[in-house]
Amino acid sequence: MTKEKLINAVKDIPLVAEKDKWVFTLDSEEGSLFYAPSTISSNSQLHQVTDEYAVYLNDQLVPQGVVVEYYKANFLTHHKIFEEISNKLFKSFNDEIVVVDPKPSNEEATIFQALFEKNLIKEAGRNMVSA
Amino acid sequence: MKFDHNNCCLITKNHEGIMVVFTKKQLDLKAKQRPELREEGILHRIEETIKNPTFIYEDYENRKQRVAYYCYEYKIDGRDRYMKVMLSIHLDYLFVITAYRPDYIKERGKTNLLYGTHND
Repeated sequence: MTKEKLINAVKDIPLVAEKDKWVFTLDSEEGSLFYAPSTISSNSQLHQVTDEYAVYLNDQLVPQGVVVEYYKANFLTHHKIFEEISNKLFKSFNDEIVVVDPKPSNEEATIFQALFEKNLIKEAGRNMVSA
Repeated sequence: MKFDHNNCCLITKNHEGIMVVFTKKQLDLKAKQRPELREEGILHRIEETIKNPTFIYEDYENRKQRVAYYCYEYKIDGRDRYMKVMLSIHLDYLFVITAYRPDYIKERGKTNLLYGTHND
């Protein structure tokens, strides 16, 4: 997997996410935020993009989902811009699993989605982990 | 809670002889977001990681009550791939929270290495 291929895959995330109706799933027990379909497809492999997040890619390098490990303990502490809106969106933060659908009628979720997707692409270009 | 083969898909012992359980309920809960948990042979890989970890790190979020077991599997496209099993620590057993196969050690340089070596 070259750096260029991985960046290109990350750039495809907004289109794939819209087509496949990705949702945000906060798994507080695991401490991870998933941005993916309700079920991430089989035969996909996890590829770390930056220290903050990884992406599941299928054999054709099409994104199948994004995983932010240690979302609250790590990601939010480094991305203060997300903190307020994240706390509003995932109100039931102590519940084990909270699903947020960024459908157009949910304004806060669509704002979070836009910020999140922009951040994924920006960070991939700047802070990709080395092979 | 009583753990047995009716409610667990895996009951084993770690490298120190401590009981480790992976409940069927937990597997079902995590398998949607972790496709690795739907792979054939995954329970065997999880058991191998628990029994013979390459290294163990403290969890980044809950350092005293959780640990991350890693088992080195292979190198592909210049990156090492591991089996990772996240475990919570209880009085007399360890509980499998989830498991997946990353190509990156998230805890490296952030938490203490508890067991094994990790030099790369």
